[in-house]
Amino acid sequence: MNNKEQFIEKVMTSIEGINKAEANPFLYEKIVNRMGQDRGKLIPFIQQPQFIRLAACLLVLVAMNVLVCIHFAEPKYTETHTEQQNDVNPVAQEYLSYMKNI
Amino acid sequence: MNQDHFVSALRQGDSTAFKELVEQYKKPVYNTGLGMLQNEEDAEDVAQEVFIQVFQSISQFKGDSKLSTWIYRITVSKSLEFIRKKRTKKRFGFVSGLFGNEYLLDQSGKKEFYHPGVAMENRELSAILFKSINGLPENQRIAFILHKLEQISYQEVAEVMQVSLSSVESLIFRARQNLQKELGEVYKNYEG
Repeated sequence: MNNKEQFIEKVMTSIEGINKAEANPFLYEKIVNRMGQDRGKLIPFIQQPQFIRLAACLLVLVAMNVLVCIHFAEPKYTETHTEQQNDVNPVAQEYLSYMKNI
Repeated sequence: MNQDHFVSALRQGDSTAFKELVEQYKKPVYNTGLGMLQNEEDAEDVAQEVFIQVFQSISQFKGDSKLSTWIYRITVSKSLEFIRKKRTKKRFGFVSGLFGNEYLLDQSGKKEFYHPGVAMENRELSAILFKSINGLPENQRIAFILHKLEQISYQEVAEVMQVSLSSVESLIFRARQNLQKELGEVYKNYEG
């Protein structure tokens, strides 16, 4: 075995018989503390008036946008020009006949 | 307490059972994290996240594997998540730095890692090995760490990684080959 192979072999076996590292003895307490903090962050925020106000504003904004989209999506003028004229003509005719009678 | 009773107690939010769970599994969880992350603070951070995840997801444990297998799986997953988040922070920090924001180089990736469980006479050589392990493809790294550091069987590694036994054998074989190749390169610059 040459030096290079010896080196590789030494490095590869350097973790043979490795002992397990000890975890923090207070890990359980740290976990419980962290869970309490996470819960504390989430619930009060949802209950806060600022959150409720913000949510309400966003809802109103979304609703307004939806209404605007619906309003512009619906075609208002479906009648053709000729049909519009036909609607107007009876009125004009009646007026003209009235004027003739005067 | 057998596994079923233990899991049942955990599902009911029994704090005594949860404490027992942490005491029983904190060493393997911490050590797996330490092998993956090569940093004691990060490993402890991940260990906390693992147990919180176990507590929150215990209802999803179907009992089709051992509890230890499930916990190892969560540990590996959380470790990988941690590594990815750290990489994203580094990238973002670099981009942010281009716009004039102070970019602090995270030097932790460049520090040598001395595993606290390695014998004194092997410290320097093991640091070289850990650095090379860091350069392995993800699946090879996971399999190598679980088998060589955690000393769990090929069968359990396969269950943790949810792959076949032959896949694990192949991953570890390729991991060794890659490590030997990398160490050959390191030898050229080594002044040990």
